[in-house]
Amino acid sequence: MTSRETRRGASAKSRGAREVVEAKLPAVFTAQKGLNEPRYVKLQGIMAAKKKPLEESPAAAAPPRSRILSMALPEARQAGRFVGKGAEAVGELMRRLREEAKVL
Amino acid sequence: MPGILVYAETKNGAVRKASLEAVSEAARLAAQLGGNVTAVCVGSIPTNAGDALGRAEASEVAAIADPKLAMYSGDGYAVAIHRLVAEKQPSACFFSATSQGKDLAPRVAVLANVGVASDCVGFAVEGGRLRARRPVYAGKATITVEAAAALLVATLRPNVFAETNNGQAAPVVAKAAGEIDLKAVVKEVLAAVAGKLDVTEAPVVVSGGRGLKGPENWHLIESLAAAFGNAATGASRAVVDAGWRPHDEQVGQTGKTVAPTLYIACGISGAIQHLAGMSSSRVIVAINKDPEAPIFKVADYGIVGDVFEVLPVLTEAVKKLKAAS
Repeated sequence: MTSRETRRGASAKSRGAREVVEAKLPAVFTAQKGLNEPRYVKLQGIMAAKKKPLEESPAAAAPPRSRILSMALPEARQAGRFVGKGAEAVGELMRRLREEAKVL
Repeated sequence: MPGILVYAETKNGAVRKASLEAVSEAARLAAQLGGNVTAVCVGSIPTNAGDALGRAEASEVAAIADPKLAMYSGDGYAVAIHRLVAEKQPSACFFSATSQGKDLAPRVAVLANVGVASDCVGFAVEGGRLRARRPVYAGKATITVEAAAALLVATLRPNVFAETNNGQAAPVVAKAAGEIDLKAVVKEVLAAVAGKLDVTEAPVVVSGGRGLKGPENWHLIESLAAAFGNAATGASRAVVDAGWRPHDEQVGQTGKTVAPTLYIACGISGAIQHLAGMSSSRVIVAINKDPEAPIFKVADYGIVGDVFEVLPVLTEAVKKLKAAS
């Protein structure tokens, strides 16, 4: 990221494609996992953090914008079957994928 | 006018499959709710948009071709789509749960002052209202929600809904984008690795885990994916954390959610966080040397064995099958 009047960030997209985005500040950024190595806090820092002032603000819930009508367990997957052991099971697997599951 | 508006995402001059699925599902629901399905294309409009979206059963295609929107922009696209929502007053506005849809849906919802149901896997019409079913708690449960307002904004998980084909083209109606003030502008797009399929949209996903023992053995996964021809590669969290594979290949709770027709887990034990990202796949195959591995609990077909022995044989078998067909 480079900082000038505006700020540019490379946003990671799927399949490794990236967009370079320019935005006026202030702007909101989200960071993806793997962006950098996290900085681990030293013990000294943990102790110092305890002395920092903690400001509390009242929270107010916004009116809900959707209603939850019900909750259910997802349909359980049927217990699988072992088609065999090791490389010799490949033939049987291929046959089942083709004839039973019909995905090939 | 009731009806459903569906954002049609395009890539390389074609409408993406996930958007066609969303259009077909919208058509199924609109038949019960009343009203039509309008597909919305923004930016560069594919030449076959009316044809492709019409076949997926959209009644019309609204084309917002503004030079300012030639490149994807979350805020610009959202404003343009929201103008159409305000004009048509649909009962729902659908997006695919792709990276673009996940970015756009909340923006449109905020502009319309309504909520979002994200990553939906099912819809129903009850008493004239639309209900959405979506997974929560990392796929441990599903909830059924309805919008508190008259409009439901939702994203639909790719590969879950069936794409239909009625063989009819839909008329393309040009719509003005109106005034657009872009807050963030895409300056350039750095090209993707050519020929690689996105793991969330590929019909077949071959995933590898710690059982591969090291990044130098990843060619086993890639060869099997290449043999299928229409497969993407995925990875477990352990493998991504170890730096063998990039994060955009990670399948699971903190990675991508996939629902391909065929998912092949190789050397993956199947931690609950991984299962959260792939258990809605249609057929799951697991190859693992530990018969007690939890992955076998969700797998339709399991092979107990060493991935180093099984994968090359499987790759050859798939190659032979593809060559024969």
